[in-house]
Amino acid sequence: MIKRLMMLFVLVASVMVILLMLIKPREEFYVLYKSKSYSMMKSSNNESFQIDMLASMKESFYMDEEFIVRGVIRNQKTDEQVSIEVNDIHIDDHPVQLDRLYYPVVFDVRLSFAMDSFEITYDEAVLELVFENQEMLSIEMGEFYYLEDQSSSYINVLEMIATHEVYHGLTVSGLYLELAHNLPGEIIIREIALGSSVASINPFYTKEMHTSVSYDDQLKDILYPVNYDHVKIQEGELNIHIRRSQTIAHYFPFTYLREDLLMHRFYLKIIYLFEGEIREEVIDDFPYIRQNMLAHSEEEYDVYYPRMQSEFIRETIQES
Amino acid sequence: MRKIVLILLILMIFTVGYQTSNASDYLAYQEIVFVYDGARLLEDYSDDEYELYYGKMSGRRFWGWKTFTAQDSEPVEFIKETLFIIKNDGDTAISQEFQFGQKETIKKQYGVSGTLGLKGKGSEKTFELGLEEKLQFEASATSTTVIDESVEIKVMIDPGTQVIVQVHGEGKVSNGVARYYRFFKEVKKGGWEVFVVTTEYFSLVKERL
Repeated sequence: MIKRLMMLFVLVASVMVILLMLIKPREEFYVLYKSKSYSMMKSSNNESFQIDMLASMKESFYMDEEFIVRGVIRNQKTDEQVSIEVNDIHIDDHPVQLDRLYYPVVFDVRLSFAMDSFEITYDEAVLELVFENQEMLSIEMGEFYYLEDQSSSYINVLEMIATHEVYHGLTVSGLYLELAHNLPGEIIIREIALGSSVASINPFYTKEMHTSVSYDDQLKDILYPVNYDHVKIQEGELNIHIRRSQTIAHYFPFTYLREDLLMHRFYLKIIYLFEGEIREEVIDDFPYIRQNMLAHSEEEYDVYYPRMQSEFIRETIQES
Repeated sequence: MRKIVLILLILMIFTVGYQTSNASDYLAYQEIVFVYDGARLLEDYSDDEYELYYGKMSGRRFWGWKTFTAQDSEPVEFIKETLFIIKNDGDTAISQEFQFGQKETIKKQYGVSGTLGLKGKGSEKTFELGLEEKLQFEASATSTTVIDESVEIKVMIDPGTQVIVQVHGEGKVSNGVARYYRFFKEVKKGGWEVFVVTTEYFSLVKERL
């Protein structure tokens, strides 16, 4: 009898072991994301922006906007934050092949409040999404520069062409701008500021142009014979005079201030002097370069797992 | 007899245009140029090339696809259609708020010829009968990304000029031929092509009228 019971026990145990070996462990959800520069001017009320990433699964609790209870974009440096609404999460049916298959996901997002003329300038922004189950997905999204539409529009653009090159990735290397204005007198442009911490305009090498450039021109061809240094910061101020009814074209080369992000789409602030008064005008963000997600290799992506919110809070307290 | 003639006529209609191609919108781009000589689009394949490539797929299959890749991820440069044009054929400069907002796609596009087919609409188009899965290891995979563009810029247009938003780009083209079998019988045969847009460059350009 005991022998039979032992046999039965061994049999049941063996079956259980085999079953446990056959059952695959539940796959953990994660996303791949590459930090980028978000630089945008809100030019209409229903304007949203998109955050794209790759998800390890197509069907997931974390990829349903219904389960997101709170979303913020936070400045890691200062802990300033703005709350966001996720309008929609678009998951692509066609997976992409990296080390395994991933599903491209696009979060359609808008800020959940209206601002006046305040400019958000988060150099190290983190996207935090809190889900119904108290878990949080925290993603280092890159930089986040955001500006509400500015009502004045006296500056006119006649041409706007970016040159590009592969530096630490494919990026805008400079900008050709032909400008005019409709103010009753002369203006003096003193500064053109990019809506980004990644690069700035190099005033020393800014060059007046008499012919247009092409999108595939290189910076070195335009500034020839200068041996241009992309990272050397050169102080200086612009002094571009534009009379009434005059148009003027310049090439503005960029100096790179950080190498972790690429410049693809950004807004420009033109600071000018008119009748002794300093004024500012913004040119809306323009998609100078757009790249397919698969233009990047697998190693360029960072991996993010959703974790309990309490773990993040504990880590933040420990860090502080 | 009439019925037989009618059936033959219908069959003739279906067989005419055997090599005509069906593709996503990349064939409507203003210009597509291969970076390296010798590469070509599916629509430029000659009959001899088709025969040569079909000849590379020897034997039959009980069920499923047999494929041959003639070009694998050949780099191309293209000029996409001009997105936006404002003309000024008057005597004085005009200043205008210019806007474009659209669901743009950076994507993988498909083309077929012969009796191969595409399924789906718009940006969701893909090959019929699982050819995509069969080619997955031969053509680098990518996907459709929907991006909502919204740009608002004040432009000035000089007399006798036009301002246009041009889109240039770079991509990769893979193409080849395929046959589909059921019970060793060939039921589909033709060319396939995958066009992947990797990068797009936007510029606001002034041109003389």
